[in-house]
Amino acid sequence: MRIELTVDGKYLALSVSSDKPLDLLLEEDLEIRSLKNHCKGRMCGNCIVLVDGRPVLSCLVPSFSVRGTNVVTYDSFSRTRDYRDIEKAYASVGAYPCQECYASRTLLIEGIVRRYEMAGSEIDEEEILQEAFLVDCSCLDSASFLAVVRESIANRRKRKNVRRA
Amino acid sequence: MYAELRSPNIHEPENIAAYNNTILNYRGTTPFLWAGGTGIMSESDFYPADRGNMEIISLDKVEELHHFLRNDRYAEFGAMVSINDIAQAGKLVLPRILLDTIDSTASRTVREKITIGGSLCTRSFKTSLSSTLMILDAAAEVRFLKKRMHSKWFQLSRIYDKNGKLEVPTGALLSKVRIAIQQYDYQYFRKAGSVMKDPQNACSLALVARFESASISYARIIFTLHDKGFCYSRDLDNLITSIHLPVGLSRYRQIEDYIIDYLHENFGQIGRLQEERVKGLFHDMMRDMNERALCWSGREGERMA
Repeated sequence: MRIELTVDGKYLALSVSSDKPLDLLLEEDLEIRSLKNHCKGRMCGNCIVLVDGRPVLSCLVPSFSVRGTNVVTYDSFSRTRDYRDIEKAYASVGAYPCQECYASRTLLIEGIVRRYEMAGSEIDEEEILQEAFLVDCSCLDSASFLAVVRESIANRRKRKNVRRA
Repeated sequence: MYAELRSPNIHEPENIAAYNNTILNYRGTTPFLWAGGTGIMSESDFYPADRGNMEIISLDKVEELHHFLRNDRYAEFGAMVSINDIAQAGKLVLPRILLDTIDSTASRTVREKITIGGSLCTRSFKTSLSSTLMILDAAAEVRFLKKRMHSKWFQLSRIYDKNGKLEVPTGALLSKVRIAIQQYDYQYFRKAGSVMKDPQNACSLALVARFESASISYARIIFTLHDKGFCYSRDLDNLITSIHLPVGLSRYRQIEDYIIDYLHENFGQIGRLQEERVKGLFHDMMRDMNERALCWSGREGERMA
């Protein structure tokens, strides 16, 4: 099946099996190395990418459903200003995810930041703590994860406000 | 790596009429109905699939399946409405137990992908959402092919057999789910273990009840063993319905024994961990019920004095 999509800013037309999971498509066909493994939908949480700005577990997304979408992986996200907000938050909280889950956690946090940055609403702690368990790795405890998310949101709002002013 | 494998055909009808045409065109085959995909994609043999000539009907673009409506008596959701949207749209009106069940399902990132229709029709495991909807007497509209397309409303408890297997005609589409808007005096939902990571040991309990002073006048209870099926029986409901709170130890043991016997009778051998979790969930629920009953009776006593 021929699918057209944008991956990390590049417009691509690919010929792939329509039911191929997105993580395998990115790993095998596009050789993106930030995705760690293929858990076959077992919810390991190490394959998060942003599809149209929302975090998804790419092992649960078939190729046919990403036609016409904009996929962002950690490879390109780590070169953006948005990434700096999260990187700064890791540094100020003093908690870093391990190498295994760094990419996924960062994209997950970016998804949460975008949710609250747009809504401008109060942070729902319970919801964020639930999200913390999406990545099946114990390197970052829930309290640190929550602190990083809060700090990232604050950084993002501050930067956007400065730009607006 | 798997490029030589045959790619399944994808059909994307934009409305129910187009869906009907697609089904009629593929009469005799069993097309794969694709909702959110979270259940199907987590099946270990999904990709690369060894089945050939697969036809996938993606329901994502069928407009009617994304609608939802609400009146004073019920809320009706199209099968493709995500459970996250249901929780947000029905926050103030839907039964508390349903919102609790949705909240306990994965995280928001995953809930945005899970559809209500998909979670009722998963093949490889049973979801807590279907069991909660069963005790809430939810109904589902099923469209099926029989010379021509028919549609019919069924109580959810009627579309599953006693082991939780879907009993709808092959290729049938569950298009709408109707949930009555009513609250109960007591609503309880808890789960133990993870459905996706460890379905062999996971289980959940849902109960709704109405009270008349310190007695339960109406109760519906359901246990879900995610890898096996539902533990749901009128006898069990009746056992709970007749109890007077707070429950004594002998009555508690009697109901617990009934539940464990029922599970062994219907599902054969169940794991020790799963059995202990079922007992634990039931124990916690009875303790919670007793505590509330004692709180109420305390308040009643104060008022009388």
